[in-house]
Amino acid sequence: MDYAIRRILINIPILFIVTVIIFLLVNLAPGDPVDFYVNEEMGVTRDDLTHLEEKFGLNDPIYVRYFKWLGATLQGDLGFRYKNGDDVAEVLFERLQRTLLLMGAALLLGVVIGVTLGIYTGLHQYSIADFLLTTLSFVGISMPAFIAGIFGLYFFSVKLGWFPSGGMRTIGKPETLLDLLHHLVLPAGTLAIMYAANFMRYQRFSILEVKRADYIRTAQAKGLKPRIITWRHTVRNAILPVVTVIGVTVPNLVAGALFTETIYSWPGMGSLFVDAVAARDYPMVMGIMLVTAVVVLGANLITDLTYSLVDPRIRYD
Amino acid sequence: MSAHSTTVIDDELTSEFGVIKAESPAEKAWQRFRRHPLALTGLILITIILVLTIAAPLIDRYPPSQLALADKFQKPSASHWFGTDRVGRDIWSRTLHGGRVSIVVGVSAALVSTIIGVIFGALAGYYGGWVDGLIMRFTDIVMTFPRVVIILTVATFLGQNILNLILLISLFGWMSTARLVRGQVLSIREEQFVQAVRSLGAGDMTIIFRHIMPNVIAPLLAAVTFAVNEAILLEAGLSFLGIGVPLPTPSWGNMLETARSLDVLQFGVWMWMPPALFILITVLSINFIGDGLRDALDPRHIA
Amino acid sequence: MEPLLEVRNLVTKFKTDAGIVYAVNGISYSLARGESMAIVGESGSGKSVGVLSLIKLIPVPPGRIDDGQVIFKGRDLLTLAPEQLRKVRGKEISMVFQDPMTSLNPVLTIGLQLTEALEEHEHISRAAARKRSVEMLELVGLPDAENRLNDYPHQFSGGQRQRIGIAMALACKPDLLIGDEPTTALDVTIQAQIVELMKELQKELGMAFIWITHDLGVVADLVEQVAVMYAGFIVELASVDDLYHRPGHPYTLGLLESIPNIEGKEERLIPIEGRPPDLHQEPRSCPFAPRCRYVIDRCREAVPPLEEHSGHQIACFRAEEIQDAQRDPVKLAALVTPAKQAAKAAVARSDAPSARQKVLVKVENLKQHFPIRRGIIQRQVGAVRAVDGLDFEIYQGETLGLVGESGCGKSTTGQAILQLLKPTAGRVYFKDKELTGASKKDIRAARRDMQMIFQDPYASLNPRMTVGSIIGESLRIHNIGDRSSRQERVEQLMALVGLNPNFINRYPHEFSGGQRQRIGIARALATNPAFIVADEPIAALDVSIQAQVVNLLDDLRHEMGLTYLFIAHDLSMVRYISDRIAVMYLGRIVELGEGDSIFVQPLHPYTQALLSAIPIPDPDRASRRQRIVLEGDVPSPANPPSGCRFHTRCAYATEICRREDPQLRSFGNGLQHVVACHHAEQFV
Repeated sequence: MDYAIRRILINIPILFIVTVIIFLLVNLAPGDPVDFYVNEEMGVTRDDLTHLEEKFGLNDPIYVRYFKWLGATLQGDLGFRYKNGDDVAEVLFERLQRTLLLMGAALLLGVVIGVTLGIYTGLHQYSIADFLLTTLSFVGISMPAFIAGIFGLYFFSVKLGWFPSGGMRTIGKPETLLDLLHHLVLPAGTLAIMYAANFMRYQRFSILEVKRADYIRTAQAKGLKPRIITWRHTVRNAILPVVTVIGVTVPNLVAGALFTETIYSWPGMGSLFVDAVAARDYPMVMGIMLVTAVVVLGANLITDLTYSLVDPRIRYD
Repeated sequence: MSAHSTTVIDDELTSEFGVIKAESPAEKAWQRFRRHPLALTGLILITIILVLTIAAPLIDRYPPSQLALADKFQKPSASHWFGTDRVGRDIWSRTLHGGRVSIVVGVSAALVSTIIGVIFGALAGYYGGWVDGLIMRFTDIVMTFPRVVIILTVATFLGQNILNLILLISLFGWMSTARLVRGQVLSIREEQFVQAVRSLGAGDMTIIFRHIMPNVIAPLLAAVTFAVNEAILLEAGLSFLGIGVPLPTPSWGNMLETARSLDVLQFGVWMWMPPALFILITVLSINFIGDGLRDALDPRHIA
Repeated sequence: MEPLLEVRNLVTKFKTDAGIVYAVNGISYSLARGESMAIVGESGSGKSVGVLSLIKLIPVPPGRIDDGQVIFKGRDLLTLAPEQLRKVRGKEISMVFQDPMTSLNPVLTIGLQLTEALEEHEHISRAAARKRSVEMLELVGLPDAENRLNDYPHQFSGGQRQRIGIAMALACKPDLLIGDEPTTALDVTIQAQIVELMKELQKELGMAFIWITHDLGVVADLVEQVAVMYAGFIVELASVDDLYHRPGHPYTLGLLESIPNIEGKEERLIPIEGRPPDLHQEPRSCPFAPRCRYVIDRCREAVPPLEEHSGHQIACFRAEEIQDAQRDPVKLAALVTPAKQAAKAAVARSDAPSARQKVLVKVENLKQHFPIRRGIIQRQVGAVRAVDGLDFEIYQGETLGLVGESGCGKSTTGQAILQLLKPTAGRVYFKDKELTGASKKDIRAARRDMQMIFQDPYASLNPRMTVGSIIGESLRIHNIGDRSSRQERVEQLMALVGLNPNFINRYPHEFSGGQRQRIGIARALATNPAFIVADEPIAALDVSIQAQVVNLLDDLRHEMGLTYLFIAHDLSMVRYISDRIAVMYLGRIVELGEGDSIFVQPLHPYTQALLSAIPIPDPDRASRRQRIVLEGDVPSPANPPSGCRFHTRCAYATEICRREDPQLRSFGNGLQHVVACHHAEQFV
């Protein structure tokens, strides 16, 4: 318990520094965000924007602006979008759910497929299946989300027509779970490829390591059934280190989702981010960066806590 | 000094069990690398790609950015081996020249980030204490942002050009190298042979550069290959989003961007397939090589 | 009566990248019900592979059992179906392994690990299995067994884990128990506990057992038969008394000669020269021939068969002659092959001129604490008091032996003296100059004069540097000479320590363990130091190689007038090489004196226990002596007991010991013999 509390508390200063970085990064950027909207042709002039600057408090000293922003952020107020005045938090929350759905599905697919294949190939080292899958896993780890996404879109949507080419829903049809899943398969599947390959390689390596451990030999010497040696002794120990990898891969997953959402027009946080950056919609950019950091820190936290639950050696440290 | 009564000159050399030939650790590693079939495949493939891209000006047939609106959107043919794009530029030529850009960006970004990572990692690992704490907390925090996210943000206001791209990829890409080097230095620092050199009276600089760093190079070499991959993919990814290498300069990433239009995706396969495959093959072969290097340089073999 | 186990011509090979390793080359032996046997050999002798092959526990691939039969209770285990063999494992034949830290599954409770075999083989309920487990744990002497079933392995000490391992192996009451070096990883006093436990258990349960070890001493009073293995062959097999008194194989003889005799230190050790066997060659001649002093032409032409020679089975063409010599040096000398005589030359040891006039190193109240930090801000919550107040002197020209079990602070002491660590408190003087508090530059300059030899011959040499650069490194650091004069000096040093100077450009991995330790010694000698700290310099070496290195160190000391601090846990070697001995326990010196007086009249109960735990390679003496087996484990140096630190394990402890910390007091007839014990008078 003590460990869990310490592990949670350690995130507070980190999160604080993260907010400082996000704020500085965006606010020290050359060029006034408001300039971007100066468009003489459309009749928007510098003067028109001055009152906007005051409205958004852009003339205060930077530290005042930071604490204003931090204070508002802590109350869940992320400001309004420059673009259309929408509430950032509201938009973000809706988008985040969809991104988490995509990431969650991809992670689940990646972990389940990767760990299963990793266990299988690790237990059957030197078999033909092991050789083929191990070689194939190289292709997997060389296939980033955007290439996998394009290939997936081309072959399974354009050529074979099995899945829709984008979006979350079929427009004009009732919102059913099946429809959602149908839209989810391609983006989640292509996003998962690299993770599946990665987890497979970790899991396989981990199984091979554990198979050599002294305590496995002890278990064999006790005359236990092969099934018990495999599942109770080998797999159980070999899965533990892979748990830690899940947390570490979350930043990559966030980045991958960004590409996947762009390719499949998945209306999540990633595609929103690409738009917001292009439009210099700074409140939105800051909001997304903050949410991303929280997601990453949260994933690491969950990983560590899970690990401490499953590995008795950590609990008593 | 007199030879004493018990001195027996051992005239045979032996490793664990066998008498072996004189070989330096590097030679032994090469022996193992050569026997690694995937690594060898990777080496051959990457050589072909490097030769093609380096020789691009000699075999390109058309200047890569030459517009020829009359020839636009053509399928592969004898005159345009890989076809042309929507403004009539030759895809074969752009793929070769794009490879130069992608590989140059990848390799130089990987090198810069490795240098930064090695410096931070070595300092943190060797001095420990607050130096280590500071550097490691810093890397932890930088690592909470996915690289693409932070680079996208900064790239938009820094201006889009190749130099900035290299700079950004390396500035936000040194953390894993720093961690690796720190870990290595930390463990090698405690090795008995380093203790031994310290007990001989060696100073910090001798210890770091003469005794510790040569032992870090092996795992670092494998890490550099993976860093090159990451940088190549990052360039491609950013260019794919339209924030990387600016047109008309070709890169595999910005050639791939054309596939974001469903039209091109469906009816212009030749426009995006070559860069996609070249990225895939390049990354795959570098992964093969990295894996081979890691096996060949595994400290378990070197002892 | 039919034997319980009969092994016939067992052959096991490993197919590796570097070729075939001939691990076990046709071994045969038999064991009756309830009989005990030891298999003794050095690394690479095939002793472990030999027993693991019995129940097919070797990894396949790369291993392969090529030939032979293992007849156990009338059936051949090697041809048994896997499912049948599995029912033999753990039920009829069970094993205890070497390293108790890695042999138990870290994520399962010991209760589960104990009961799973019982449930598997005896088909009893979980409750009954738990009850039996508690009984077994009590039998092996684990306190509070009932409440500890739900604990995980990391919550036990090494000695306790090994007891759990034994309980696990005995749970199903096997007919045969195999111990694969079960005490090698343990400290000497814990080793004594386990050996005593095994004796009791065998008396009680009556199972047969095979005990694998590299130490002839450990098994002297434990087993009935001993098989000696070398390079995958059994070279001698005899009853324990016969083997120790009338060894018939030159290798057995060599092993016995290379272990120091704890009753006197006059005789020089006779090492087995040469290097460990090369297992990559298919054996076509006597594998020991290259190292054998009694070698004749025939030995190089054929593998000598294991044959009966007056009660022994010996694989040597000259077995009878050697047996007849009965370990008599004069008779043996006559048998030595003429070409090997120079090498043997059993010179008497010239005793060091131990005129103790000059103090070379003086240590005053030396303390070395390592902070324990916790939490986010790394707050110091305590300290490991590795060294906690040492006072002693080292005289010019002497060897001071520093002994103690792991964690007692002996290695830390050596490093603190050399200023490789910054002592927490206290002073260290070297040649009358204070080192503690000296500038970094002065300390580095002083390092020319004080050097260190390390324990691990593999880890202590930089794998990426040539032997020449390694040995010459200190010359380079201190700017001594130019390139060519340094090379000359390195060659000279290599010759001095018994290495061929032609190998100057080779890398460490090309040398064997003993050769590497010679490289380490040459490195330490390069700047002609006056003082050398030897930190467990032989602990990682095979028995037959240890004597080579100890002799070399001893010779160098006399020739170069060196002073040693010799750190070790092996008391018999320490006694052999040291003039005076200091015994450490939990960061303190508890007793210090002349080697002879410590061995003849140990005044501290801990020293007494240590001495009684030394394995003696002589069954008569081993069974005659009274073993003092210490209870429990060494307490943590982060939280040492109050008063006398030893009181928690001491049979003589009284109230005062719990309260007052005893100081070193002088005893004996004018010679320095100091001891820190409230009750020392009663042992005088």
